[in-house]
Amino acid sequence: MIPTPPPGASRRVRSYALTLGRTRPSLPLLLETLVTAVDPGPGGLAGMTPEQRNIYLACTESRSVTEIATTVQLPIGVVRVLISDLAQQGKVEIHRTVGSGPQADTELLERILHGLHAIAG
Amino acid sequence: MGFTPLPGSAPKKVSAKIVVAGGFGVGKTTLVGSVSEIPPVNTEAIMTQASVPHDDLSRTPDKQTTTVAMDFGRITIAQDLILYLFGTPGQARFWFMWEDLTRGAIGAVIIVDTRRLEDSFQAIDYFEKYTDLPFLIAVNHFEGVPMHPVEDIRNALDLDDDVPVVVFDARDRRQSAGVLAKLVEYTMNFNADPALSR
Repeated sequence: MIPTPPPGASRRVRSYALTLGRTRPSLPLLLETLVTAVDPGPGGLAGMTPEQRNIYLACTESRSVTEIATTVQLPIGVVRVLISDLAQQGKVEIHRTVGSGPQADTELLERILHGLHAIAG
Repeated sequence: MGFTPLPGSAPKKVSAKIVVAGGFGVGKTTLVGSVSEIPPVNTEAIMTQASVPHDDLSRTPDKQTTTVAMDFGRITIAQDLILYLFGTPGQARFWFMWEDLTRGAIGAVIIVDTRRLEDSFQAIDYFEKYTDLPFLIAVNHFEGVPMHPVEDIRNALDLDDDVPVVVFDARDRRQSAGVLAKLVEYTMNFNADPALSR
């Protein structure tokens, strides 16, 4: 049996299409998705809005969408759109996530398990 | 996963998320704080409240934003693999955020305090009804409180037989990590065996 999607699930996808559709990101920007600033190229940071520049500077070391949003003090929804724009311009890289359910990467789960066991002792 | 890196791009990294849920004061902040490598545990994120029903941020990017205090932690498993912990905000008015918090999560830890089991009913209900995520029950054992048998707790919470129930002390880093490990282990079995899926 096909599981019933949670209420609002279909609208959710449409909401993403609306906010990020214009940049068509290859990966969804979840709260935990890591973003890393890359070499901005010859143009440097010129041409970025102050908000984009703040976001860029907030992820010179890889940071999650949530961490970036709290650093720059902008709503997470807005930060998602701006990160997406920066990604399309090649200024930041969006990393993948381990994934949920059947799509989850078992090998990565295994590594997380070992890491947690190491802390648990 | 279909993402072609740009030349000279950053080294590949991967992140994952575990949701920490439960009633107010059951020990969510304590658990996240005991295993996280980053202070402050309680972070303030500005959420766009309209993002649930009919949101269009490209038209009205700053409408109805609200600041949500939530527990947030990070565990660097390896240079390229980061695990994030997200505590659910306690207040009912932040329920709109739960979908965002749970989306993409590998699973959830629902903490209960045996003195007020009912405080965690809402969280259990949410994961049972509205998500396909695996979750386990972590009984935060407060000092000086008599320990109830796990089977009694399972019955009182009306849990399916396969949902793990573990007892721990949220203040203890190793025990908290052990609870997270147990969840990941359960997630792996859960993902591999569709019969376990609700």
